[in-house]
Amino acid sequence: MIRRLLVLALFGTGLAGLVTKRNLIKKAYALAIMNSAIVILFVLEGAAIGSDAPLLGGAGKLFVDPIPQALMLTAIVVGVCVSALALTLAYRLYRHFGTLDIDEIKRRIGHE
Amino acid sequence: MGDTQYGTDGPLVRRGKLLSAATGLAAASLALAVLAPVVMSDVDWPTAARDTIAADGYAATGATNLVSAIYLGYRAFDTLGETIVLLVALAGSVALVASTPGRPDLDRDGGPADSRGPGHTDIINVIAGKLAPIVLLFGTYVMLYGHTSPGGGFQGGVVLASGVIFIAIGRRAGGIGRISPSITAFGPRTLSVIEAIAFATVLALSFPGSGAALAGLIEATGASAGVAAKGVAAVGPIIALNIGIGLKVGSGVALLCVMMLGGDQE
Amino acid sequence: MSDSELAMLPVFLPLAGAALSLLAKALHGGAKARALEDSGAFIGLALPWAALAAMLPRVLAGGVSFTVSGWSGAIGIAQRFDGLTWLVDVLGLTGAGAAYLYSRGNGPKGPLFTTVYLIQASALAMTAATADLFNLFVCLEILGLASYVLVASSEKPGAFLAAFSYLAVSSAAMVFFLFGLFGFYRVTGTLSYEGIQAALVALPDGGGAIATMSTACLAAAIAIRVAVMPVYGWLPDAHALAPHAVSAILSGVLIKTPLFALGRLLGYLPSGQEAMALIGSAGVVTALAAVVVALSQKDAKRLLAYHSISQIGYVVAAWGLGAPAAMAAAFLHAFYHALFKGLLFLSVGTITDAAGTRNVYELRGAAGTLGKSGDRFRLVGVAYAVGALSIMALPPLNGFASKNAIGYLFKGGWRYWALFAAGACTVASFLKLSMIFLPARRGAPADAAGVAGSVPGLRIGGTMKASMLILASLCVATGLFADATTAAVSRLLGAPPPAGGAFTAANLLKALQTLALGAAVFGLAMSKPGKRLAAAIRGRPRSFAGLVMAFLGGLAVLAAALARFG
Repeated sequence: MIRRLLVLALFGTGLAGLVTKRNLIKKAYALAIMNSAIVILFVLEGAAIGSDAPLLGGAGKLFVDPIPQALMLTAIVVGVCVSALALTLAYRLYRHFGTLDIDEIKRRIGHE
Repeated sequence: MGDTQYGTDGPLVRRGKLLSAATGLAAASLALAVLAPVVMSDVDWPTAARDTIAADGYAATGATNLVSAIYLGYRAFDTLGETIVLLVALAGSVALVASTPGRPDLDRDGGPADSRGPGHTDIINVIAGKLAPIVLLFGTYVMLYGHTSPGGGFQGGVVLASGVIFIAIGRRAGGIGRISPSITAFGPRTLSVIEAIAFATVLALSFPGSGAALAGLIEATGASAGVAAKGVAAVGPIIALNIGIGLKVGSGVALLCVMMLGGDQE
Repeated sequence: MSDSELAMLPVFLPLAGAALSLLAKALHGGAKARALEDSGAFIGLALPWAALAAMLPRVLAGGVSFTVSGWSGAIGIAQRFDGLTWLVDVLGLTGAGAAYLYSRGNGPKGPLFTTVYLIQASALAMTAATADLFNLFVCLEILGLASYVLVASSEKPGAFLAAFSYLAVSSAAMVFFLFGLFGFYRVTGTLSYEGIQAALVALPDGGGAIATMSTACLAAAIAIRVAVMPVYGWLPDAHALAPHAVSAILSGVLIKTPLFALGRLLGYLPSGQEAMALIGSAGVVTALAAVVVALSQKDAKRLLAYHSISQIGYVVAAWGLGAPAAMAAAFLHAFYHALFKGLLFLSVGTITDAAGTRNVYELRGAAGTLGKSGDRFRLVGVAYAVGALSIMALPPLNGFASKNAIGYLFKGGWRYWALFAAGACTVASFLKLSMIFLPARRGAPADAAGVAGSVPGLRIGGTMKASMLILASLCVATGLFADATTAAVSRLLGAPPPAGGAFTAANLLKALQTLALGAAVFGLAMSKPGKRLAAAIRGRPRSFAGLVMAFLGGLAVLAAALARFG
């Protein structure tokens, strides 16, 4: 119960950061926090049905659910790729405008 | 830069901060109102999938790591998609960084321009150079043993990429850096070719039916130690996929990092 | 080759082309690299037509359902290749092929562009055939990432910001998609559409609150890709600032494929019908509101981008009804829109590049500019005319048939009149855009080419003209043979053949009325108060935070509606 609340709090923090922060890098971080929250949720809840890692050959036999883990491997990689592209775009914008403030950049583009 | 557009403190700034705090709160509340029933529910987590895989996963794919059995066996098509996502993101980032106007030029020796800047002390250069082979070895191990222990192509590939970065950093002094930089063993050109060939391999292995064809080939050469007789599929396709993905990811990430270190001017 | 392998060819052929193109990129130029890139493009964009032709008999026999590589259905990735998949693949290949042909002349060139472009084409085919929830997630992410990279490839700072905003808001939406997927997996233990449907039916409460909220999350996350109100905000910047070939395929194909994938998904979910109806109503509002904003725009490409939003509103409105006949009308308009919007983006893009300005109030004498840039027969101008007449829904072009088919679905309700008004405003804004062909104003330089910003020495080459010629002839052909096309599409989607043809007296009368009303609205828009209103609409505050709040608002409304009425 408390773990789920914490995951929701983590997600809420990321979302609030994405909406309110004006710095492009902070927006990229907020997106990464949101991704982490959903990954933690999947793995956490999938671990409820067992106690051992899903590796055959050990002593125990009651594995956790391997499907959320496999799905989250993909989700993590996708999240990293999105972060990489977001940071590269932020880098190019910074090189051109000298600022990372999204409202300031929007204002200057409007004038160009 | 930073969050204060108005520059000075005062009622305007406070109102701006209040407005953004209210917006953030509204955003979080809307989201949590929709998500709370999904997250906080008491429904038991389903066990059917876990039971199926625990019973049949090894026999169907030959891998004792059940997570690998899923994402490289049952759901290998999604892994192909994930590899493609990585390819597009890295290729796009490389193009964006490479086309930045006014990137720092090389210095005369042909090495990365900022190899003498702050952060690139002799300690880092020497240690990175000497650690590089160990990191590469570890990356290869993680990549090859993904079917029996946690690891696999993506994880091993990223460690391989960091090994290549160590080489690039350590090039100026000590260790592997004593190799002449004109040997572009891990230069951008080689990395691009490795990436392209590895991607083509992963694609070929992911086409429906090719995994079975490869397994048949392996059994025909007798290299699978008779596991087919025990009713277990050959694990060859999974190992091949791991190697292909590892090389693709490693070379792609290494290419981006080597480029950002300024090595693309070689 | 078995059925399932053949069905996967539209996905794997473009990927094979992308692999060749990637190898070409690694070779860093030279004749061998160019040959590799060209053969990659051919394999990726031309060969899939052969695969589609081979799949047609199987599709007509009822379609193919399978799991990739034959793994067990409970864990493997389910796919379904039926009439809708076939049609969406045709839509994707036509748009992608024509736009790629144009890019060889004026667009971004190079093996990297070809690689990402082919990967996008492959992702379109993947999205059309998927019947698995996580596979849909991966397909949408590939589509998204390819779009961000392609938008940013125009190297304009505005394009970087547009790509960043699109990326951020889309990725945030995809996290909500994962929450929805979490909800469904928790309740059903499977990820395939059929498995989820079967498991939900077996439950006493049909999934309860979890299923409803998860449906809302999935629908909202996909709806943002389709750019209906209120989540359209990312589209104008992204489509206006991308290179012309990329704008053509983004507007033509990328906002439609997720819509049909969503339709397939919602068909299996218990609250699916209500969700489609709600989004359909949003579509009608979008059609009218977006065209009013389009009418106020100064920048030619931004005007076209807002029109894309409006036209997708038409498609969504028909799609929201859910019945096969409505789906046929929706697809027809989606296909015709891909043809004429691609044509418009390519032709208007060429004209603005040659003339050096995108401002509709300044650009004049387009025909003369075209002549100076190597288009002796003004083919680009003819192409523009075909596209404009199509979007204005004037006979005998294809827009006439499809817009009337959609209007017919709503006969007698408020939606019919809203769409009629939208049609009039469309006529008005294209009359406004066509002002670029008026002769140059007295005192303005007669030679518009050579103004700062024009593409120096833009020669309108063979591939550019060929791409526009192909699209234009398709517009005319599908317009003249509208009844045959409608019948074919209806057959593939399992809809009853529509009663009455396209060229009825009532429809022709409606076209005349739309034209008259449109001319009146144009007059109003060009007047002084009209221009002041336009400036006010253009200057409305738009921010990134607004994009995310609009998404959250739409999600909340959808969730509330499904909870009450689902």
